[in-house]
Amino acid sequence: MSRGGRGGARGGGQRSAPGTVMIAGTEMAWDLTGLELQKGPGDLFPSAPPAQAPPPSDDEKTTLKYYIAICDRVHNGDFFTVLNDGMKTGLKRRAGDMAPTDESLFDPFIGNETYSARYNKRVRKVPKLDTRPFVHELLPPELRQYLDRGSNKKKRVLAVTTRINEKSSIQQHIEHEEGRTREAEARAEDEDDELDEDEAAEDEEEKEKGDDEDNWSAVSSDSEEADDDYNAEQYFDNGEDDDVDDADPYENTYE
Amino acid sequence: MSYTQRATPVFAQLCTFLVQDIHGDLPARVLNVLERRGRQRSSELKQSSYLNRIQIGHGLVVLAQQHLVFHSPSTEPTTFYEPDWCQCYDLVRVGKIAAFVEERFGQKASNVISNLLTLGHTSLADLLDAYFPSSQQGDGLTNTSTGVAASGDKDTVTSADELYDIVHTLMEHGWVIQASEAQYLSPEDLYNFAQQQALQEHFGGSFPTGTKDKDKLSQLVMANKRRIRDAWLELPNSSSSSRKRKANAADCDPCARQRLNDGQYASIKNCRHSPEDDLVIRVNPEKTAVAMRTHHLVGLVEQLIGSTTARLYEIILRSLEKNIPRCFEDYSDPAPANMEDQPQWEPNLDHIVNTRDIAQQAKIHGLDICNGLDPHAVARIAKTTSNGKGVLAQPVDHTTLSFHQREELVEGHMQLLVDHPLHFTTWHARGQYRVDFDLMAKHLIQHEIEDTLLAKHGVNGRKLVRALLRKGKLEERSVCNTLMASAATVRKVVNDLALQGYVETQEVPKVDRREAKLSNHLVWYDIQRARERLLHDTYKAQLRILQRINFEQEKAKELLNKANRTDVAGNESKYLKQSELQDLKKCQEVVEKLYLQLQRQDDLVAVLRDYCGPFLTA
Repeated sequence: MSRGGRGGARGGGQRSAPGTVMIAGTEMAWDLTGLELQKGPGDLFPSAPPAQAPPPSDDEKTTLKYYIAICDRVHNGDFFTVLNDGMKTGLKRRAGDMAPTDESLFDPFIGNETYSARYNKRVRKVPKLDTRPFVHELLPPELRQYLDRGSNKKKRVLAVTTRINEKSSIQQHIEHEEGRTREAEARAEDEDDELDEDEAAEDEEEKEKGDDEDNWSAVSSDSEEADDDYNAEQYFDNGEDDDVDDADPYENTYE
Repeated sequence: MSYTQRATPVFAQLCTFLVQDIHGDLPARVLNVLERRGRQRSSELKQSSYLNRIQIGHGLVVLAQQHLVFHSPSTEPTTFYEPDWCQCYDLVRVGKIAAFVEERFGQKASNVISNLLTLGHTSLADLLDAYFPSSQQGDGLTNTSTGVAASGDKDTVTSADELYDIVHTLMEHGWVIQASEAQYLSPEDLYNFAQQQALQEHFGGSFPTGTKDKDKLSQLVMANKRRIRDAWLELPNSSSSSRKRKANAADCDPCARQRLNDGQYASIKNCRHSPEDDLVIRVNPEKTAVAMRTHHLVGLVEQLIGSTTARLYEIILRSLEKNIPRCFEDYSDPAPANMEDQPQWEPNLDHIVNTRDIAQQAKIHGLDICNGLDPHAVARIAKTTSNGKGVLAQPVDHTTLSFHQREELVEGHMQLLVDHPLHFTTWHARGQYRVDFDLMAKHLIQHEIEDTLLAKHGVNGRKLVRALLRKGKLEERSVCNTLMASAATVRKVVNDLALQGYVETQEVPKVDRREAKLSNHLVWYDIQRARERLLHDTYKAQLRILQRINFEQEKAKELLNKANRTDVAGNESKYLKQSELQDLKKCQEVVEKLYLQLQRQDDLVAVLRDYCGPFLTA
């Protein structure tokens, strides 16, 4: 190490009085004996949770309900379009910019089409205008040509709902599920209380219940009993029955 | 250009986001081009956009159907398009409109109005057809409606007459108006149209030359604009009762027609045909602000005075709402040049209520009007005794009060409203009170600005603005004196606020050199500037919220796509894991919270922008 060079030699030569500091050969009369330096990490910045908005009032809940319901309806309607063409604005590309290609828009992780893609929600790139009647007089003449395209055989009817659902379908289901879980828990508690009675009947009941609950998740825990041969995640049995138990794991690897 | 149609880039961006959020990508992209390039023909649109002709055409149709673009009159050879920013912004209020209508007219009416909001303008006949599809329709009809409602359901419209009645009520109260081509005219086009009309009628088609004639012309233009606009609010000629009679007559008619047609069934639509069916209706965008103002003021009264008084105030404002189609007159006559000619301020007679009517209404609502008043006063009116501690000796049953007693109690509540510094009501005549919305609106705006400054800059910020509002333009020294604060504090807060644009500073040199020492430094505050500043900040906050919503949805995109799959939707419990359901719920909670915040910001926008027109600085 080079540390012992000049400084070390000089430091060895003269001993300064305790409580003084040598800086560049000059003795400073700073008394640092009482000073304790903090060695550990300093305090973290005090956590300041962001201000939370108050929960919605009843009026606001109604407003939100309607807003989301109306949005949902427009989104499921024939005029809603999703372009997904990699453009942010509707303006023309600059001269140097390349148009986004299919390859650049492709997501290799989820973009590969599988059989179940046929169930995907269809998104429109162009609104389907021939589904509803228009009031032609109100639209400018040059746009009227788009209104009459498509089949004229069907009678066009406005898509109205006679009632607005309070919640979106997903939310209804989530709540339904929560209710079921709660019910199941309550039932389980009840059963704990009267455990002794009617064991046989209870078994049956539980079997039914168990079947229900198995439907919840794709991965079932007791695959062998459930005859779940096609479950890929269970294919290796989670390494439970591994033959090479205590062998060196790196036996067959190159070093 | 109309005051509310001015668009800053932030506002325009916000509107584009809103359109994208509700109506999808294609209209938003088209709007984007219009935002950048301004008023354009569709061929020019095509040139400056990467979209093709058909895409642009379809996008414009969607925008026009929802009244989100202006287009020049169809009589002209080429059509120009221009974004209608106000309508685009009003998309954020769709939930509010439906909720207000539900509050006032019930579930069925709110169902009708939310259909109108979803569909844009529509003719009454089409709406009727959609609600009650006739049996004549072919097999492959694309009718996505849930069809004829199960009878007996109290929340659904069950008959054509009921639908007519609902639409009639909504039109009567100004929530629904007639759609007309003039609504598509941009402010400039509307001005030109009104001017042409005025020139043709009064000046023989040529421009007047004299000053007086020019003044007269500008007045006529405004009058024309008002006339065009008020025509939209008019109800169709036949009243409700006569229409019912007509419907009955039509019921008999088809039999005759069927016989005449020799087996050929006349379509049911024809049977029902009445002049009203040709009516094209849409939601009135201006009415929302009126209802929002009512809501805001009632909330304020509840907060500042008491809940019973607030309920009474709600009754007052709602009874006035029918007479108020909009919050402020956009096309008022230009102010005369010299001060003497200015007309005397006159109270608006539409804003007057009778205590008698209110007492009657309160009884119908079953409101306990003895609440929230001085017990001694209640005791005096109700002729019971109160003990010395300000507690009524025996409770007063509000149902047994005489009409006169009620009226007096209501007067007591009105007095509370009159006495409040915000002047929620003003005494007009014996038993009559007036609501001066315009005076209140200015206070509300000032209140919001002060609140914001208090939160951002502490007490000093608010103090400074209040002092400046009271005293006008102040020199630095007098600012210190007025605020009773040191120069250092004052300088800091003045700098902060000047940087953010809430106050303005001005430097007036005392000598011919420009030295800081030898100049007067003036500070002044203009409510209109501060208002626009805060409005701009609010728009920006809303834009950020929408961007955040997009981000949150992008984050959970895979999951949302999965949940929206046709086989999964409806069977979420079957196909989604427990963890996925939880994630989905969490995502929706976040998004809902953000939407809620968006609505609250919109309340602020309404206070700042919609309750009164621009203030003119003297």
